[in-house]
Amino acid sequence: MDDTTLVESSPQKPQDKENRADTVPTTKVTQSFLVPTNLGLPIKKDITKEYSIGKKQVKKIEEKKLIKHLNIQCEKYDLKILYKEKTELQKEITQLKTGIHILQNYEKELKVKELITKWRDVCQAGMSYMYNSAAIKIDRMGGFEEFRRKELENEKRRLEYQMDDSLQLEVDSILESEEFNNLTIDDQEEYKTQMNEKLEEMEKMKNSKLEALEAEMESSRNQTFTMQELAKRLKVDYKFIFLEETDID
Amino acid sequence: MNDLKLEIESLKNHCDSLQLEYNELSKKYNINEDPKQLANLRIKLLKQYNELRDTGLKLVQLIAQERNLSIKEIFQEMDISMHD
Repeated sequence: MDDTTLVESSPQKPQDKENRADTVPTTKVTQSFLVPTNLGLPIKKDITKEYSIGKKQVKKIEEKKLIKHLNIQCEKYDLKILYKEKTELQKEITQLKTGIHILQNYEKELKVKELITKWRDVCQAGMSYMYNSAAIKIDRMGGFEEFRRKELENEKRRLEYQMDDSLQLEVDSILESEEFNNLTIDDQEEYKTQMNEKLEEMEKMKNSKLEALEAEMESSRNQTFTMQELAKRLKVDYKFIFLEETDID
Repeated sequence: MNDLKLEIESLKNHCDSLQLEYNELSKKYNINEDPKQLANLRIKLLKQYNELRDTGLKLVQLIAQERNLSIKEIFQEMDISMHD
C-alpha cells in the first residue's frame, strides 16, 4: 500500500468533515425539494408568471385579430364606397347616352309634339261633333233635366225589378227543392230565418240605392248638358283633351 | 381595389366627355333639362300622343257609327291623315 492508498482508504479526517459540511447544504436542498411545503412556493410563482405571460400573449393575439378584422372591415367599406361610386357613374353615363341619343334625333321629338297637337285637334273636333249631336237629341227629349229624370227613373225600375226578381227566384228555388223538404222541421225553420234575414238585408240595400238615386234626381234639377258631362259619359278625360298647349309642355 | 379605382377614373373621364357632348347638343336645341328630365319628358310626350290618338280614334269611330260612314271617310272629311 502506498501513501496514496492510505489516504484514500483512511477514515475521514476533520478536513473531510469540513468537506462533508460543504455537502450539507446540498443535502438540505435535496431534502427541501422533497418537502411539499418548500416545493409549493417556487412552482406557484412560476405558474403566476406563466399565467401573466400567457395572458399578455392572448391579449396580443386578440389585438392582432381585432386589427386584422378592422382592416378587413375598412377594406370592405372602402370597396363598398368604390362600387357605389362606380354604379352611380355607370348610371350617369347611361342617362347621358340616352340624353345624347334623344338630342341627336331631336326632330323626332318635335314630330311627336306636332302629332300631339294633331290628335288633340281630332279629339276636340270629335267631342264638339258628339256634343252637338247629343244636345239636339236631348232637346228633342224635353231638355237635359227631363232626360236625366227619365234616365234615373229607368235606373230605379231596373234596380227594383232586378233585386226583387233575383232574390225571389232564389228563395223559391230553395223552398221547392228536394233537399229542403228532406230537412227536419227545425232545420227548415232555421233556413227560413236565414233567408228572411237575407231578404231584409237586400231590402235595406235596395232602399239605400233608391235613396241615392232620389238624391241624384233632386240635384239634377236645373242642370244643363255640358261638354264635361259628355266626356264623363264617353269615359274620356275632359281636362286632357281641352288642355291649353302651354300647360302640356 | 386599385383596378377598381382605375376603372372609376376611366368612367369619370368618359362621363365628363359625354357631359360636354350633351351640353353642346342641349345648347343647340335650347334645352334646359338634364338628361334624366329629358328622358322623362320624352316618355311623357309619347304617353300623351298614344292617349290622344286612342281617344281621337274612339271619337271618330263613334261619329262614323252615327253617320253610317267609315272611319276613313270621317278622316277625309276632317282633312286629316289617320296614319300617324
